Amino acid sequence: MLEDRFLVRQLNQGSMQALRRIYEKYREDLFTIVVSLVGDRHLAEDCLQDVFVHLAESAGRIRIRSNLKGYLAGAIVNRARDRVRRESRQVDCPIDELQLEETPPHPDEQLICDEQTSALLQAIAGLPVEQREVFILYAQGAMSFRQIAGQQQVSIRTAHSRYRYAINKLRVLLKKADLI
Amino acid sequence: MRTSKHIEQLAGNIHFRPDEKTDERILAQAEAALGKRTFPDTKPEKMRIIIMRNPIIRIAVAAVVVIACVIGLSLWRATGSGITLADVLARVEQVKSFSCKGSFTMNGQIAPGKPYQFETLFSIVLSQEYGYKSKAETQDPNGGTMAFGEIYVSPQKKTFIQIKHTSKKYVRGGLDDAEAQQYQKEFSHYGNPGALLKEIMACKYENLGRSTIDGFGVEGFRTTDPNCKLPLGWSAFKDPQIDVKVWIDVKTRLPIRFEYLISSLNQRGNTLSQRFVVHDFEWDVPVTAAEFEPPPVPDGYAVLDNLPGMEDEETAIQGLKRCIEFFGNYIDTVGDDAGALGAVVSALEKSETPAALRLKEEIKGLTGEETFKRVSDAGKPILRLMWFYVGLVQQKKDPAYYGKTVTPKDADKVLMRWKVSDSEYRVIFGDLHAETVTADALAELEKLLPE
Repeated sequence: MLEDRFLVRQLNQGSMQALRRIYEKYREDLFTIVVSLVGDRHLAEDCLQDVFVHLAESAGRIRIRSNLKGYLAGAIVNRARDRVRRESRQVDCPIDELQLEETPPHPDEQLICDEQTSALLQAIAGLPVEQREVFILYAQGAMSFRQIAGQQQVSIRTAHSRYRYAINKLRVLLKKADLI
Repeated sequence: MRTSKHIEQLAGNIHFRPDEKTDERILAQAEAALGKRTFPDTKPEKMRIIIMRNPIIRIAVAAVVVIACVIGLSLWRATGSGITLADVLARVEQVKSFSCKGSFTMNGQIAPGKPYQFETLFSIVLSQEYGYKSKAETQDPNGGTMAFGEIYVSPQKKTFIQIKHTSKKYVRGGLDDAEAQQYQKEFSHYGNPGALLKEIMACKYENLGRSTIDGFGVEGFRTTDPNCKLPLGWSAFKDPQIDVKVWIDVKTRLPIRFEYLISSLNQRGNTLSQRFVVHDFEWDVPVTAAEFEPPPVPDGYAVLDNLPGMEDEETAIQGLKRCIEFFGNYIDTVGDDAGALGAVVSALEKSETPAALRLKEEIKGLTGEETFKRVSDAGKPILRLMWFYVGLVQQKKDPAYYGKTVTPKDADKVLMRWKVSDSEYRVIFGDLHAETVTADALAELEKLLPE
């Protein structure tokens, strides 16, 4: 948190090192979020690039209200939404094309994990956009419901409800696939 | 495990990473975008805040302001004795450098039977040409004194450094041209002498006649007007008693000693006081550039991370949260950071929130000095909230704070606000959520506030 405040301060003064450090620190978290959201690696890369180019363009006037990760996560969700809308793409989850980094130690566990992960990603892709965003930001972005509510411009209660609906749907889908 | 938790965990275990080529491409694009940006020179104001808000510099500033104020008196009044303050003014205006020593002492009672005293001894050298340096010492719990901190400001090199020995931290920074020039311009009028002069003009004072200090013949002046204030902050003092004395060397016609005492009783009848004494003035003391060279930062010192001037909205919210923890409500005012500790102590005495009771229990076995430190640490977020607010005032961001009437239950009432653009304000509401609203919307929201 403290490092982030310094990084933002340095970036606001034009520091390339700060920009690099922020990218290295959060690229994986952001990329995970955006891949989960749009289900397409190339589109996710474009979104990640948009966010960091915009961050650089905003240097000098960046004001972080809560925390840097939340700020960037909010930004990438907006980008993903815009990109998907602009390109009128149907979100699907070509999971085979994605590189899963999770590597459990045992081959059987690997199989189970990949199967579960794959099923989860497909289930997430089937959620309505708002519920999908809330679920991903909460579970993968580690954002609070207050932050998510702010990002989606809804009440905290609505963010909670969307999350609850998302979890219920995911539970049904994963049970149906006999994965939980 | 509950299925919802299991699903969250599954999702949390998913990780995707861009490949190296993508990393390179994105970074190249972002760096190119950053390279095209031009940066408004906002740093100087920030640095100025850091310098001006620094406690040690403030003491020095107060010393210089006092001199300016004493001088200012002469513009309107002669003393009726052998010394005219107009003469003092003329002489001080010729001064190119001076040094002085002094002390700043706070006394109070943090809880019944728990007196504390905190004293800082300082020495200052100011040169119109080379800059400013100060060193401060404080009491060592093991006896004697220990180095507290050092500050060096060089308008020539446009740099400053502050080293805090007690916490083994330091901060280094730059001044821009305007700030360096301003520093030199304000050499003899650092602070806001205009405002202070007006305050003094409104005060009644008396001539104390002749006396002797350290073998020097002096003539003294005194005011006990409670309206006489220095830029050290007195918000913790309600209906304070003031005693200000200035002594002028009858031979050199220059100030030789200054004393400022402010005290008041809190609601429980305990006395709080602050005493500020400046002495051992040496005028036009010979100085060299080498004297203003800062020493190397000792090994193992870390960069200071919470200086005044580095606060943001989150800092303010954390300070407000701490107010709720300690007092069950918000403090009445945030506009006077220097009185923060006194305000915290005073409010803490009355408070019976669990956090306040815990802290009071915790300090029961501590000495006065240990208690002072513990309470200072606990009250730091509130102090930083005040730094943030004072920074907004200095940056002319039209801030306002309504802690006197707004409570943590008032989710739709404006607790604090400041301007973020020509047409927008950032607002922290009573329940501590924050929103950006238009100026029109803010006007409507502020109509809802109690008188």
